[in-house]
Amino acid sequence: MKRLFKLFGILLALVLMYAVPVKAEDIMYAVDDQAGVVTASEAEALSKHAQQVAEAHDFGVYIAVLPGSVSSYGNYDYIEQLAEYMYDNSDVGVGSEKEGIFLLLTMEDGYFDIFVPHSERCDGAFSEYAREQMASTVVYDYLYNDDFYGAFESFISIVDTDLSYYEAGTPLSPSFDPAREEEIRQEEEAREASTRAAKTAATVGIPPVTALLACLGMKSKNKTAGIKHEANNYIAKNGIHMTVVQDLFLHRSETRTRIHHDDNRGGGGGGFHSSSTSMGSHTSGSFHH
Amino acid sequence: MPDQVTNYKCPACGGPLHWDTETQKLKCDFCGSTFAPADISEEYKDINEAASLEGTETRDVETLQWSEEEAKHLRAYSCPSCGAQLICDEHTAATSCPYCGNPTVVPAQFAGALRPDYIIPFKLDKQAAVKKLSEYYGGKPLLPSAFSSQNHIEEIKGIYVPFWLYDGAADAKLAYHGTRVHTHTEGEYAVTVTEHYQINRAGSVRFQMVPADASSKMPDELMDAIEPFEYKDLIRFDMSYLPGYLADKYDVSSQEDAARADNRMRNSAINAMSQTVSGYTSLIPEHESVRIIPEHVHYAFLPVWLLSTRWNGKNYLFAMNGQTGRFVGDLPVDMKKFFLYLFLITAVGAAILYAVLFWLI
Repeated sequence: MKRLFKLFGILLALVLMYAVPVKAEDIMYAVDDQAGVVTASEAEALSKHAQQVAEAHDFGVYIAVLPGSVSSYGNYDYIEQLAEYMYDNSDVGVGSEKEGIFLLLTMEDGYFDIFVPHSERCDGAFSEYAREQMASTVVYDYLYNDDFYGAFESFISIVDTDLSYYEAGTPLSPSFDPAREEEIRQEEEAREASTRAAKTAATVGIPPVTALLACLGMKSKNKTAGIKHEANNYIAKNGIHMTVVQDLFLHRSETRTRIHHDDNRGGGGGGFHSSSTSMGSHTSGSFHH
Repeated sequence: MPDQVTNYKCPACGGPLHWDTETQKLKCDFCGSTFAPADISEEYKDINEAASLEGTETRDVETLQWSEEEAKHLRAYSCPSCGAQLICDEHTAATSCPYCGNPTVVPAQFAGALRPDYIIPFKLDKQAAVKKLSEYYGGKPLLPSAFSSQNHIEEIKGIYVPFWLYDGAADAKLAYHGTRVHTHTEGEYAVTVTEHYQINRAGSVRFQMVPADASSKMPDELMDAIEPFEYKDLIRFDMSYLPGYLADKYDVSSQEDAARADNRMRNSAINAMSQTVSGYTSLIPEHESVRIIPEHVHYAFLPVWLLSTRWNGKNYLFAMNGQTGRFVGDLPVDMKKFFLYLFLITAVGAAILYAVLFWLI
């Protein structure tokens, strides 16, 4: 198995050798699609984009897609362990702290992990909040729809944005999240519009119906004569005798509907969670819908 | 033939006797004396028996003013008090002389099988009926404003209406397909379990005295709507309860009326059986069969006040249960008011909703 990761490292190094501009030999970037989820031209476009971001911020950006499951690459229980192993044993990252961000997907079991090693910049630019916002977009907006190119493109763009925020002195956090704020604003606008529409519909629709029912009720007060169709008042005291009271069970039918859970460890259903180790920070989960 | 009809007269002064709802006795219009029906009945026993026998010899009405067909259904009697000729239809059993106003009973209409089994005496008088009518106009916003002021009671009659009271049983068999639906979760799945059941019910329901009016002149809608009568006041028939009121003998036979009672028993039996089925999410009837087992049929006179009014060239008929006071009858609807209320309620409702939804929330 170690051979496989050596191979991965060699592959990354080869890609870097041909793609990295001369001026930044120590800048690493890569899109390694071993599962073939994107086309060659898409992989090339992604690599170009990753290179631009890496150069602009002096920061490693890596994506790897493995065809097997987490456990098929070694004695790993979790994708975080695999990601750390791959990152640690590959010639990736910038500087002594190996600064970079790594998105790993294992296709067979449908897990993903976003890993950043510990460093002042990595921890600042890609806090738990930032990673989870990133995962939310990458997973929910793209991977759930099997749009791998979109997911990777989005991942690289978000890395670029988050690094820019950090460099500007306002790293992404719950108190500073322009994209989220814009999203919330749009959601609020949409909610307000739908609430306004519902209120208008209620104002226009409910009163006439209520008025009609009230008027029909008033009208019925003027008509009290009518033929009787029952004789309930004339049932003799103790006059009801039941001879058969049978409730026979015939059969049972069953329908099952899958419920979506937030935790991926239960075996599917999507969602993600964040964790931290001595080596770095992770946000991981399942991208199987 | 003066003794074909009977005037109940006061044993004290000879004045006409009327049924008095307040004292529940016969009361003299002149001297105010009151008498128990049994006492008067005993006094008039022989006279009524003779009148019953002679009643079969009632004189046919002369055909000078009436067609032969009309005359066939009319009977002429002489008022025992003033001798005036009373023209009644063939079913009239109690009336009043239009000349002297004396209440008159035709005993022949109660002879043999025609004699009712029971009677519920009037508990409420004419004033109560008039009061109920004016109360009935209240609380009806769609009643034309001019209706209550312009319309006047044209006629108000206290009538002992002939009713058939049917005893019987209904044997019912019902079958349903029922489902019970439960939902629970198993791991990642919401599991909906639907249990299917075959539900069978059978049994019998006994009915006592289901009423159906036995007079073709009485609108069934009104007679049904003034129900129920309280049978605790049902007593053996006695002619001495009739003075002061109108009464007709039945002209719809118990066989003809039975279908109405049977239908009511059938529906109530199905209701009673189906009420024992509970706890199901859905219920689809698969089979319903009801067999009516007829038992006794009783013939009874039940007290009804009939009030007729006229407005805008149209007659309006109301009925009041002479025992319980239940008042029924259809009233006109002012469609202008209907649409005005529709508009007003809509406008006010919309304004309130607008204020609540757009300002307060």
